[in-house]
Amino acid sequence: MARIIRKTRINDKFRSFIVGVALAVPILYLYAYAFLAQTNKSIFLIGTILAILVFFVGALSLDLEVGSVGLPNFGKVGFFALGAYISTLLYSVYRWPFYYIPGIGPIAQFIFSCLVAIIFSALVGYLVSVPTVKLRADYFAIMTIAGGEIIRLLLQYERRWFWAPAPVGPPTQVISNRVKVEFTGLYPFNQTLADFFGFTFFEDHNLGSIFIWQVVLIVIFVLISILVYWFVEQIRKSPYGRTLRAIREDDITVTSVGKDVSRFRWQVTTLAACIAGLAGIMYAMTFSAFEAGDFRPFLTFDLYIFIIIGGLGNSRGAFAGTALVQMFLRAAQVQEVKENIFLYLGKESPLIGPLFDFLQLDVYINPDNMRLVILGIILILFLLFMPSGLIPEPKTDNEKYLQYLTPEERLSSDKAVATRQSLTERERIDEEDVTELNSNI
Amino acid sequence: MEKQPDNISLKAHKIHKYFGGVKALEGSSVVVTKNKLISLIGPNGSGKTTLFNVISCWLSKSHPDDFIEEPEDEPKLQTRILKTLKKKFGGNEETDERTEVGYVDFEDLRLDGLDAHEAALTGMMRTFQTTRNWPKLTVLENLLVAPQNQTGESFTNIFFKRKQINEEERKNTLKALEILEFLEITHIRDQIGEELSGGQLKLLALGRLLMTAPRLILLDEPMAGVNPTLGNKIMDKILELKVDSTIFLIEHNMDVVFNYSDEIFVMASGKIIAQGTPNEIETNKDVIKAYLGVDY
Amino acid sequence: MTSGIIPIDIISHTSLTVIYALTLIMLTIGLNMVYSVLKFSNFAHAEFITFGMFISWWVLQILTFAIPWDSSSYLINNLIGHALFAFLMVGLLGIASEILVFSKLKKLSASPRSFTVASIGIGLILRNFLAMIFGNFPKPNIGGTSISALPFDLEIGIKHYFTRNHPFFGNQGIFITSYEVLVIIFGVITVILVDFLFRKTKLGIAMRATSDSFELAQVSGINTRKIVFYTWFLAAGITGFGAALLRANQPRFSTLDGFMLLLPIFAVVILGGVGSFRGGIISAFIIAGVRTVTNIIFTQFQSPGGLEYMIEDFFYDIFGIKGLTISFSPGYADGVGFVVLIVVLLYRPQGIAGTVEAIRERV
Repeated sequence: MARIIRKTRINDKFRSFIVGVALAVPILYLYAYAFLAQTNKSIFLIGTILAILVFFVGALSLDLEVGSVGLPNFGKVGFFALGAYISTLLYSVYRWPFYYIPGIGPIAQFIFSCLVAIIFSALVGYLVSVPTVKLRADYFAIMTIAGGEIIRLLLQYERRWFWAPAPVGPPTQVISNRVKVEFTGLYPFNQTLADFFGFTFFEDHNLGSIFIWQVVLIVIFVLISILVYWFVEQIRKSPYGRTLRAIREDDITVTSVGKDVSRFRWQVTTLAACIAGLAGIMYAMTFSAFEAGDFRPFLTFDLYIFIIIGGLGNSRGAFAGTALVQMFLRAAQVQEVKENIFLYLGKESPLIGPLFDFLQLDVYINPDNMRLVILGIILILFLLFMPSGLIPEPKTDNEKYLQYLTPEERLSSDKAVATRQSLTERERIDEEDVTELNSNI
Repeated sequence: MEKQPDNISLKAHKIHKYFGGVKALEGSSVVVTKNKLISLIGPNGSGKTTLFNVISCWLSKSHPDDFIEEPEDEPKLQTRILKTLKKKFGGNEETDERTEVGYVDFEDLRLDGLDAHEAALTGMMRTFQTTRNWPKLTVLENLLVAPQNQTGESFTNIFFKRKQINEEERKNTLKALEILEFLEITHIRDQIGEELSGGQLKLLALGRLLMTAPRLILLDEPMAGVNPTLGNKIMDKILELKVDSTIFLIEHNMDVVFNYSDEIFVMASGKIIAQGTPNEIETNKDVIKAYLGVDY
Repeated sequence: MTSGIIPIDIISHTSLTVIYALTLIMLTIGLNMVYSVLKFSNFAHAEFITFGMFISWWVLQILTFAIPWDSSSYLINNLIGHALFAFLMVGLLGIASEILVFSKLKKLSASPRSFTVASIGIGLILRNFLAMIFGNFPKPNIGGTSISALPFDLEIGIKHYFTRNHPFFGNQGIFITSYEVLVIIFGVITVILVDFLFRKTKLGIAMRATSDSFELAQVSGINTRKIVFYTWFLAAGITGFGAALLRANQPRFSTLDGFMLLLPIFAVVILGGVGSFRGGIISAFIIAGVRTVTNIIFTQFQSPGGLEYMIEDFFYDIFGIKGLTISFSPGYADGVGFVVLIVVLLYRPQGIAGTVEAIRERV
C-alpha cells in the first residue's frame, strides 16, 4: 500500500515537472526573444518584474480565500480598485492632512493614504463578507462579482469625489498617481534633506532619477511580497490554517466540534481584502494612470488563471503561475513578436483565398487575441488534466506535530503504530477465513 | 427556570418541529440521566434525528401553533393570507391561548436560541448519521482540529503567542495519540481521511468528539453500515465512555439496544410513545404496535 | 422647482422596458436551464450571446452576397433566417462545450468552482477567437448597409405622438422600430413555447426530473446523458436566437457586448429563482423596470434644480462649502439592478419563485 502511494507521488512530481518544463521553456524562449528585440531592455524587464509582483500579492490574497477556505470570491477586483483609488486620491488630489507640512509632508501623506486605503478595503471586505459568507458557493460568487461591479460603477460615475480635477475644464475619469512624478522630481527627498540637514544629494529631475524610482519600487515591492508571503505562510502553518482547511473540506463537522465557521470566514475575507487593497496600491504606483474601466471582472479572472495554473492552496504555486502567465502576456505584446508571428487568412492569401472571399472573412491571426485564446486553452487543460496545478498543495504530514514530542514518546508512538499495524493485519487475515462480512461501506 | 436536579443531564420538554406541512416532532419530551446510556429507538422517519438536530441546535424548533394546515384544493398563498387576516381581525382569543413553547435544558443551561457551535461548546457533542470527515487532512490532524478554544485559532495569537501555541499543540498531540490508542486505530495515524474505510471513519468521528472531553454525547447510529465485529468493538468503546459522560444513542440494532441501555425511549411519528428500562419496553404493547403494525 | 423637471415620456419608456425585459428573458432562459439541470453558474453564457450576435451577423453578410437585396426572399432571411441560424450554431456550440470540457470535468467529479473557472476559460477563448476572426468592432461588409439596420422599413414600426410640448404631459408618444415589434412577437412566442416545453412535453418533464435529482432520474430510466445534451442545445440555442434579435436592434456591437450583459442576466436568474421559468419572467421585468426607472429618476436628480443640487444647497447653507453632494449619474442604472439582487438574496435567498436554497446546507 505504502509503496503504491509513494510510487504515485513520484509520478505526480515527475509529471508536474515535465508539464512545468513544457510550459516554461517556450514562454522563456518567447520572453527572451521579446527581450532581445527591445531597444530599452531594462524598462521592459523592470515592467515585467513590477507587474509580476503586483499580481503576485493579488493572487496571494485570492488564494488565501479560494485555496485555504474555499470561498470563490469573484469580486477581488473591487478591492484592487479601492486600494488604488483611495491611496491615489488622498495623495495626489485631496492632499489632506499632512501633505503641506514642510519636510516630511509628502512622505507622511503617502504613508497615511496607503494606510487609509488598506483600512478602508478591510472595512468594505468585512461589510461585504458578513451577510454573504453564509451563502452557497455559487451564489457567493455571483454576489461578490456584483459587489465588485457596484464598486466600479461608483468609482466610474461619482464625478465629484472620485474623478480627478483637471487643470482646465471638467474633471476627468483618468486618475494619475503623482507619487512617481514627485519622486522622480525628487521633491520629497530633496525637501526633507534640505529642511533638516541643509544639503541635497540629487540635483534635479533627470532620466537617471526615473531609473532610481524603478529600482526603489522593485526593492519595496519585493519586501512587501516577501512580507505578505511570510504572513500567509504563517497562517497556513498554524492551527488557524488547519481549521481553515477543515472548513474547506467540510464546514458542518467543524461547526459540530464547536467552532464558529462564519467567524473564520469573515476574518479571512477581511484579511484577503486588506491584502488586495495593498495590491491595489501597488497597482496604482506601477501603472501610475488608470481609470475605473481598468477594474472590470477580467482582472479577477486573470488572478484565477494565475492560481489555477500555479496550484491552489499554495503560495509558491501562486508565484509560479503569476510569473509564467505575466511573462507570456507581456512577451506576446511586444511589437517585434507581433510582426513576426502573424498570419493573414483572407481573399488575398493563396489557395484558400476564394473560400475566404465567399465566406466574407478577413482573418488576422494576431498575437493580441491569440495569446488570450492560448491562455484559455491552457487553463482548461490544467483544469482537466492537472487540477492541482503546477505546484500542488503540499500533502500534510504528521511530522509537524510529532516533533513536539520527546524522543521517548515519539519512539513509543511509532512502535505502537507498527504493533497495531501487524495486529490488524493478522486480525484481518483471520477474519477473512471465518467470514466474508468484513467489507466496509 | 427552576433548578434542575443534579443527576439530570439533558431535559428536552415538548419539542415541536414542522417542515412545511409535515409534522416531524409533536411535543416530544426526553429526560436523560447522568452517566447512563440512554437509547432512542423508533421506525424510520419517526423523527429521531430531527430530535437530535433540535437538541443540538442545528435546527430551530417550531412554535406549536405555527402549523399551517393546507387543504389540498386551496392554493398555499391564499391560505396563508386568510390565516393572517383572521389573526389580525378575527378577535384575539386565539392568540392569547397559544400553547406553551417547549425548551431544551442541558444541565443548568437553556440551549434555546443558541447557534450549533455554541451548543457544542457547552459540553454536548454529537455525531452524524453519515460519517463526515476532512478528506485531505491526516487522521492525527482530524483529531487535532477538534479541541475547542485553542489558542492558535485566534488570528492575532499566531504571531504573538507562539510558545503557548506550541505547548498546546504538544498537549493535544499527546491526547490525540492516547485516543487513537484507546480506539485501537493507531495504525492509521498517518493516513489521510479519504483513504479510510467506513468503520474507521465511525471510530474517527468518535475520537474527534472525545478530544473535547464532552459530558453528554449524542450518537446518531454509530453502528450503521459497519460489520458486526467492528460494531461490537465500537459498542465496547462507547460503554467504556459511560464512566465520564452520559450517552444518548440512536440505534437500529435491537440486540445492542436491549443489552446495554439503562433506559430506552421509543418514538413513533414525532411522539415519544414509551419510555422505561429494556424489560419494560420489551413487553410494551404500543411499541410492538408501532414497529410491527396494528394487527400483530 | 417645476422648471427643473423634464417631462417624462412614459409610454415610450414603458415600451423600451418591455423590449429590454423580453430580450433579457430570451437570453436568460438558457442560463436558467443550465443552472438548474447542471448545477453550476456558466459564465461562458455571456460569450454564447456574443457568438450568437456575430454568427447571425455573419450569415446575413453571406446571404446578402448570395441573394440580392431587392429580392423578396431577402425579407424572410433578414427577419428570422439569421436568428434560426444562430439558434442552430450556438446550440451546437453548447453541445461542443459539454463534450469537450464539462462532461470531462464531471467525470473528475470536480467542484462547482472548477466548472465556473472552466466556463470563464471557455468565455476567454470564445471572446478572443471572435475578435480575431471578425475584428473587435465589425465593420459594414461588402454589399451591406450599416451593420444591423434593415434595408427597408416595415410599416409595422410605430411612430406616433400623443401630446407634444403639453404643459403638463410634455411629450408623450410611442416609438417602436419594426424590429422591436419583432422582438416583442418572438419573445412572447419563445416564452409560450418554452413554457409548453417544460410543462407538457416528455422532454421537458424529463429535464425537470433531471434537475431535481440526477441520480433519481437515472434510476427511473431517463437517459440523463441525452437530457444533458438536449439541455445544452436548447439552452444555448435559445440564447443564440435572442442574441441575434438583440444584435439586429443595435447600431453597433462588439465582442464585449455579451460580457457586459453577464451580470444583468445572472441577476435575472437569481432574482427569479434558479430553476423557475415563470419567476425568471417576473424578475426580467423587475430588472428592466428598475433600470428604466433609475435612469429616469437619476436624470431628473441630475438636472438643474434636482436633488443633487438641492443637497448641495442644503449643505451650503449649513457649512458654507460648495460641492458637498453626490452625483446621481444615470450610469448607475445597471448597478441598481445588482443592489436589488443583493438585497433580495439577503432576505429571500431562494429568489422570487425558486426552490433551490441559496444558504449552505445544514446537517
